[in-house]
Amino acid sequence: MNASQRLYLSLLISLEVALTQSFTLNVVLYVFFIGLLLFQGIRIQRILRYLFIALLPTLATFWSFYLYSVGNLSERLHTAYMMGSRVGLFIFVGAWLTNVVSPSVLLKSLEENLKLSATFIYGMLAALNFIPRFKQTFRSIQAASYMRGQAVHWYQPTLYFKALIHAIRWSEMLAMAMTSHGFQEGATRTRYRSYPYQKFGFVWIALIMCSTFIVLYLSQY
Amino acid sequence: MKNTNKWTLRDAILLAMIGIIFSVIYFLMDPVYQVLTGAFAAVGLQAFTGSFTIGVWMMAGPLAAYILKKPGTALLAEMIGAAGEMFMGGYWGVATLLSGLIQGAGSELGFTLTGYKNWKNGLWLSTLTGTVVTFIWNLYHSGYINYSIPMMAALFVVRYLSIFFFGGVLVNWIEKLLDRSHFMSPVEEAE
Repeated sequence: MNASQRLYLSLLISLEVALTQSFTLNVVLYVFFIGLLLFQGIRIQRILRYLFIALLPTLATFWSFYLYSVGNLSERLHTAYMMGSRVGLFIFVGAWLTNVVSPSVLLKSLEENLKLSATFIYGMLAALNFIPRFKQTFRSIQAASYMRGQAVHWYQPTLYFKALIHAIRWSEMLAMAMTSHGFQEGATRTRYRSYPYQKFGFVWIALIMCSTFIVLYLSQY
Repeated sequence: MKNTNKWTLRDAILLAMIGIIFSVIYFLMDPVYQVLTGAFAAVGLQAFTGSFTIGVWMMAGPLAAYILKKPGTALLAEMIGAAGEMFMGGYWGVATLLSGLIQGAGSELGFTLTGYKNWKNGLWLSTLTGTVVTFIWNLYHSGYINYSIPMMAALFVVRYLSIFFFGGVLVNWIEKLLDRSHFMSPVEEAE
């Protein structure tokens, strides 16, 4: 499967899980995706860490639906199991996608596979490099206001305003830099690396989706 | 900023950057959400955490639309924010992408309803459409449909207040600061 196909599969799976009410399907997919992650050669500690992250929201969701959902005790228990198991499942599907696919590869394959506008994709690729700088900027904005004896909080507009000023200035400079390095909007581009769809990718997607439908059809709970 | 439907490279980068600013904020907010979840979970009202904080997760779309003033901006900015959050390792995993799509579409709808002409009305309308669309999605995705009617009503009201504050009042405020700083105006003259 190439990056776009992985994205399609994970979106399809999460949509299916979100719109169905089967605990069995969730458990089957849970095991399946942990299996896939192990097959990718991910370390067991990493999987344990994911499970640990999922623990609190899973329990909280379970408890909330157990107490407040409608129906008798067994119905409430089913809802609670189903909703609780979704939390971890989404994490593992997300991990399966993000562990092997980097944002830049995903963007480039989407550009190629879906024929998206190169201006958008390259704009995003350029902006991606600024993630660390934004993290740093948030810290320096806070530090700068502490020096003046003021605190900026996440619910105040000042923080966002200052970050936006940076974004506007950086986007102008980046656009200028890209143009001066020869980037032309709307021009046809050649590719250094190509990311075509893989034939078996769609077969895999179809197979996995069909199996989930069979599980849904057979499962009672 | 001038309302033209043509996307320049600078607009595309600015859009992506707004998305990225918010993906950092979303990612930083994840632990806050965790703590709140823990607090609410003790009394089984975990669903309210989502409704209280949803507004923060819905800021990228309206803000980008209000600044760049182009059709499709809200949807795109929200999706970039969501994708960034997922790649940084936010704990909703792949569900973030779906949420981003739904939240972006919800906000976008508000601006669409004004025909992309009146951005101010569009902003206030987007808080309402955003609430309705994300609430319907959460009926299924977060299983709100399994709750009793009064609980659902309470969840809806809290959600609306949160989106109204973060996605409406705060965004409007930020835009005002930007206007007053005249930071966007030199570009406008150059165009």
